[in-house]
Amino acid sequence: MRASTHTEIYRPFTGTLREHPRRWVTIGVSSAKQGFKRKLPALLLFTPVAIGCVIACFRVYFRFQLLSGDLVNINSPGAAGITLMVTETLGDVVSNIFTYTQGMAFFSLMIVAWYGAGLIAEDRRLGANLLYFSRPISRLDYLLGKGAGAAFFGFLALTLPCLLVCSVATFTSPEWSFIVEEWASILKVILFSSIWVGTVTVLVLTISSLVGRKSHALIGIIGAIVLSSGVSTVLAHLFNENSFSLLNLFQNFERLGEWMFDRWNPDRKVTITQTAAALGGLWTLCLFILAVRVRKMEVVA
Amino acid sequence: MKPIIKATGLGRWYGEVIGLNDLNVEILPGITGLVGPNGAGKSTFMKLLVGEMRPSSGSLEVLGHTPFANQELYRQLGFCPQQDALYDHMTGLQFVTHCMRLANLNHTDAKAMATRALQRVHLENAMNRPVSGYSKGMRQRTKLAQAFAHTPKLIIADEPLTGLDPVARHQVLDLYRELGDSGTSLIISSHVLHEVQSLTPRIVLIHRGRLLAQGPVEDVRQLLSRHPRKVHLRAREPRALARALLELPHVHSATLEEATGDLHIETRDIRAFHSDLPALASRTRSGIESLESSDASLDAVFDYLVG
Amino acid sequence: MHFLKTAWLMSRLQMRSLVLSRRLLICVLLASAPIAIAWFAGGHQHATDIVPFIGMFLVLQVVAPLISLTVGSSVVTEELENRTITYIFTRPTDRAAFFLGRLASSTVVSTILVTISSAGVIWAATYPQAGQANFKRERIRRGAHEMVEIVRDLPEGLATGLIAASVVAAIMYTLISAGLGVFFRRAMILSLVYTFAIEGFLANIPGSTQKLSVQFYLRSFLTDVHEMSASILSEIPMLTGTTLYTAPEALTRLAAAYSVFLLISALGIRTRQYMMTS
Repeated sequence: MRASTHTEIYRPFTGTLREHPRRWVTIGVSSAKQGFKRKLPALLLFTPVAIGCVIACFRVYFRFQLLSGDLVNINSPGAAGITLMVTETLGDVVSNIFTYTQGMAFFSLMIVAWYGAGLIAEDRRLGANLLYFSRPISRLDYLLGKGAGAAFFGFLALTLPCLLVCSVATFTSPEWSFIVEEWASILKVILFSSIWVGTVTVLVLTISSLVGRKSHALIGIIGAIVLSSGVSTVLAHLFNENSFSLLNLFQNFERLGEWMFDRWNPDRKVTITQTAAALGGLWTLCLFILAVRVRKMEVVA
Repeated sequence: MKPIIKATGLGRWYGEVIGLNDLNVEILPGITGLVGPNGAGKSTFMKLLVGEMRPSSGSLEVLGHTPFANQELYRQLGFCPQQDALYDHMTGLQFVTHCMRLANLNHTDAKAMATRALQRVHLENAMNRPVSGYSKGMRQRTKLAQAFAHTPKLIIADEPLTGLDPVARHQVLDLYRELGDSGTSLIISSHVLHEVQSLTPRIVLIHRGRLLAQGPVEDVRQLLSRHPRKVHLRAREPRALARALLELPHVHSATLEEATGDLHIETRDIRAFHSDLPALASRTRSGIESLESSDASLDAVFDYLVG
Repeated sequence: MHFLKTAWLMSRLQMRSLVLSRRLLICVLLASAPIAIAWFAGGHQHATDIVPFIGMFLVLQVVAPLISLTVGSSVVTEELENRTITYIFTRPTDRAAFFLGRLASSTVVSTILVTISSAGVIWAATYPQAGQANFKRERIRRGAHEMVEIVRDLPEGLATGLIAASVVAAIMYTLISAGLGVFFRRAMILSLVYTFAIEGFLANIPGSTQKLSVQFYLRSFLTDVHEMSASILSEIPMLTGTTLYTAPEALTRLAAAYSVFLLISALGIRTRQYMMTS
């Protein structure tokens, strides 16, 4: 019997095969695209973020308007005092951004958790790792791709709104004073939000790699956060010792934010070095677990 | 004969996606093959039949009952689902026994029924092992066993031949024939068309959520007048026979293969063709050696209707 | 009769799958976390300080909901996710029996775990104070005797109040999670959102909205029998001025809420459609 092929379907490939230099980008883009398919969770999760961002933008805008005298004639009797009081209440741009990041830390965590929880867990459940690792994709490509997919939503929840606030400050500040005089704040904002988003992404992916379903990963993430916060609160109270607060991810970031934006509370018993060590420890642990789990996935494949 | 299933204007939507649309069908007792391409609506129809979902429109009766959460119907129904899902911590025997006990049987009877069913699907040697260690074929047979162990009036099986090796397929098909012979009605959906046809000539063909054809394959084929039936003939005098055949009004074309001498006829009325052929063969003294109809199968019907 | 038999079969099936699951292991680890902390703290603080604090802020607010939600969400959701629910729903069984049977097993498991956790906190907080640094038999015997004395020395009703509140917490949160599983596909996530976001908000803002949270009633259990718990609550600025119920009042109201939600869930499962992907 003579073999034959369906040439109409299996057309011979005539081009040249080239390796994509950054294969993780493809995985990241597909992970992000996957996230956009569900509209309702996005609406629910991003609504508080959007509201927070609008409020922060409005405060910044209103403050600069007051300071420029566009809204109130500051030469009129008593107006200067009121203006000063209101602008004090509204706070400067950096404090608004700092307040926003602290207020939205939980929501950004939830957003990264929602979009990232299933990224590795569902791959394991559906056996998609068999497909991934049968391609020329390294473990690092895989992890970077998945991380980029989850971090993208964290970026939308935290970094982008902060940059929006900075933009409003830039355009409403007199003589572009914000960007001229406080340009370093923008870099700090990007750095700070990136650290937060990166940390929660790594945490989310780690828990995702340990379970077999998205829902289990989500409960693991929330459980880990709630439990660590609860334990640190109880221990800190019982021992009147602030170092137990190093177990609390949110408090670590509050301290980091205070340090980066020059708002450090001198009464704190915990130093920034300890905070950095706690975060570094978390990163190390998560990356170690991720390396082991993804290696196992590759071996199975 | 009273139909076991009666669907009138049956529709089911998943949001904006139509799963099933205005389906009108009556299925008589016996074995019926439910066929259609992927996404045609077969599984939706089966889910409606077993009461897993409610119809969005129209009405459906199975053994005279409305299916959704109807305990009376479930006493007479066995369902073998498509999904490869079992309680992995149980043994095959425990699983089937558990299913039987849910039908209000005591443990002894349930176990006896389960054992018999598992023996019928040739799992007697494996039935005391956890199902987590079963091969796909064994899992498929376990699902089948729970569907017929309580001797239901109607068995609905969604892709029951998936994952079975040729020997197991043969055994399962034999089992279906036995069940059919014993008076149990079966509705079987499958992509393996020739196996469906080997079980039953009766089909329900669904495509894009609509009923495309229903009835014996032969009758359905007969109704496809725009696709003339193809007949292959081998005769000692094919030219004379071809010439005579072309004079018949229902013969559409006749092609002679020079190399082999095979004659390929296309006719619009296969019954008339069969009744006219003996007289023609005798008149032309063509000496017919073989006759074969190549496109009367379910595969061909499927291709013509769906393709 | 068939209803009860089905419920019993479902209950056994759920118990068996829970006992063999990784879910239970995680719950055991969760239950042991407060015990470990109490043990650690027990060497430095008096049990009277440790027990109400860990009991209220860790066992009742974190561990009990987490365990109950983890176990409770398996009642319907697990069968749906594993796609085995078809075998049950195509049998001549009452769907409500399926729900109630599985809920009963889950409630038993979560109650046992949470009770062990709260009882363990009391034990662990008192054990180091009984001088039990080694495990020689005589020392243990004497130590156990001393420990019982310390538990007796705890303010009246603290141990029973905490354990009672834990039992109630497990029962309530298991039903919440299982009940949400009847109506929503992502029950576990919704239960978490409800417990830690919605209820966490409602229970910690001043005013009568607190009465909409389970935590309010659990606090009532603890403060009714133990004054110190009340003083801990009074230290939280958000909760000052809150009037809690007595334990019987709290129990009556929770029982009423439980019955209503149970009824809604049992009726809901009879009418809900569960779609499974193939």
